[in-house]
Amino acid sequence: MFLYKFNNLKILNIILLKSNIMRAFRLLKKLTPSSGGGDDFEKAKKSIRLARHGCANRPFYHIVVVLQRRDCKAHPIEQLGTYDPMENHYGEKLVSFNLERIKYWMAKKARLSNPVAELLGLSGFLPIHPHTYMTAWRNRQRSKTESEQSETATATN
Amino acid sequence: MQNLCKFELQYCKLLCKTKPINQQPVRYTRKPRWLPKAPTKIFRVPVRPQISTDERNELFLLFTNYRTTMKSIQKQLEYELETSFTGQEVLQEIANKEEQLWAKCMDINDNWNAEVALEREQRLAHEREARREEILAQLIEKEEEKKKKLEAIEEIVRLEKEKSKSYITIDNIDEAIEKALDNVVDHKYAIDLAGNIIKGNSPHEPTTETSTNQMRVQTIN
Repeated sequence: MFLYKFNNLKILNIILLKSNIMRAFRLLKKLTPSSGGGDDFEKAKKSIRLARHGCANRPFYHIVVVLQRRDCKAHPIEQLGTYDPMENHYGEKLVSFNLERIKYWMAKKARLSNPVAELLGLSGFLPIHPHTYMTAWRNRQRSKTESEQSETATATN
Repeated sequence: MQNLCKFELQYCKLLCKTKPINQQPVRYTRKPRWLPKAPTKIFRVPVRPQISTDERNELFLLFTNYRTTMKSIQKQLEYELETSFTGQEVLQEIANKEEQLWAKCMDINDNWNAEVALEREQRLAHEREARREEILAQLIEKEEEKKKKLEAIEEIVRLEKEKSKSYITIDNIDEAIEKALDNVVDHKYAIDLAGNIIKGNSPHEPTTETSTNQMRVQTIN
């Protein structure tokens, strides 16, 4: 770190003040709802993407609209759904969409991130993403080769 | 962000003035950019994914298809959004709604106007009646005044007529002159200290006074 470079007390004070402001800002951000109300500029690019909201070893995603240049923890403009990537008791991965708002934001030329586009494709709202096809046939291929391998192994045994 | 957080934490530790609440130190998840390649990974060559030409062609086709469909969907959605604001039907509906609202408003307004008109007419009738009565009262008063004035004038005329009997006219002017000449009235008189009136030019001939008083007047003179 470049902490030891600042021997001047004035500069240190200024930095401290700035950090205080940052802390206040972060606190404020915590008080605002995670489901929306972030910065929205008319002409800025937006994207619909997943924002991770789980904890360690337990991913959970919000589907949100954010300004495209903002980072993954940025305050979203609006939440458009949720995605639980971990299978539940019945072997389901639960997804929820607010399709009306997704339509609206897509009409406003918000970019779709790949995972979101895949999810939307699987849900039947958009055409199925090529990635899904690709993973499907690769999985199929893998399982096929695995079964073949096992067959040969049993035959040799 | 992470950098900044760590930076801040160090300051907090240094000064111990403000203790951060609910703040966890964030470890670096990645190596900083300025650090060189790890010595164990120097000669590692990452394996390129092996994609067959068939698969590649298939993917190319799929992606191009996907892109075109997405474009058309995008266009459709934009069109829908635009028409939801400025479509003919939507505008018509809005206009209809507005018209209905206008009609409703007009109905309310008309009813209200009628109500107010009724009230106003009543009020105006009342006022008219009051005004008529007032005018009538004023007329009566004025007539009475006129009558009084006339009476006063009549009285004056009567008095004048009475007076006119003793007027000097051309007919009786000679008589009047003679009468005046016959009875000469002398208005000159003097008053002494006691208030006695002394008429005539000669002071020795008192008319209505006592002798003592006369004497006193003389001595003073």
